[in-house]
Amino acid sequence: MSVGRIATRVVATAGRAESVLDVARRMDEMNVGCVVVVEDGEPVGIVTDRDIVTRVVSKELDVAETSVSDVMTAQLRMVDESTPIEQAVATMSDAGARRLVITGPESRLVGILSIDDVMELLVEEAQGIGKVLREAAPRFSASA
Amino acid sequence: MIAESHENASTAPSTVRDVMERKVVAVSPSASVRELVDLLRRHGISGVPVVDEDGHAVGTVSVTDLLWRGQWFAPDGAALPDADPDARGLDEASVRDVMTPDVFGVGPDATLAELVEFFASTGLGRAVVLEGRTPVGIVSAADLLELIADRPRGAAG
Repeated sequence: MSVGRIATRVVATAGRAESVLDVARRMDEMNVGCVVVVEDGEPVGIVTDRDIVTRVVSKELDVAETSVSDVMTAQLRMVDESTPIEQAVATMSDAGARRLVITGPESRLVGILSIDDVMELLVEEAQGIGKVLREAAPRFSASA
Repeated sequence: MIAESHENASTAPSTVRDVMERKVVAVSPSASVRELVDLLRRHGISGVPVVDEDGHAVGTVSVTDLLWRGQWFAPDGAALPDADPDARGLDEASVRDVMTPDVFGVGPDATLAELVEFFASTGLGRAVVLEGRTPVGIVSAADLLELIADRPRGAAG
């Protein structure tokens, strides 16, 4: 099974020049812990709630005057949506990463694979649902 | 008429107690991993403190622990979903087997500045609020984000 099938596809995004304040509001409204910073549809950075607290608030920067590009992590761990889940989990484990950015054709943002998504799969697997999904997978990809 | 000229300082949250989530979801070290996973899913959370029968925090456990320390995975980490879940199943493994035996705690009277410093220095985004050894709340970076998001536009930091 590929990461594209279990990644979270509704992702909060932001432009580089947006203020941290606007992004914090978006995260709060959408109840998400991170936003992906995109430029022309391509992911160029990621900002988590923790980043905002530790990189902006702790340095007493003004959240309204600080732009997202100043606090984002620009070194993204990205994998293509066709990557097998096993490989993505190994990447997360090796890198100590809790999230991977999932991309599609032309490196466009598709979604985020969080460690919670993988957990969901583990549970389904343990409950036998994973087996059913796996068996159904070829049928889905053939018709896609 | 009630006077509206109250000082911000008297209402603005200033300590961990003011912003923490008071409903603490916790798990026993003897619970099975399946019970833990069900608990996390039911509450939509990623981690919980582990408490003993006296209600004292003895560790924390999160989905990160489960994925990276779960003994039903192949040792090389390249595990899901081909690893045999029966090798050490969700029912056989207990919370004790996978938890981190440290409690990353802050006191309820710590200031928000101290909390920010705690997150910055530990690399964590969530902490158990402890009174003695008893968890009385959970506080996360998201709780602080909420304060930032609620800030009126143009207000000075």
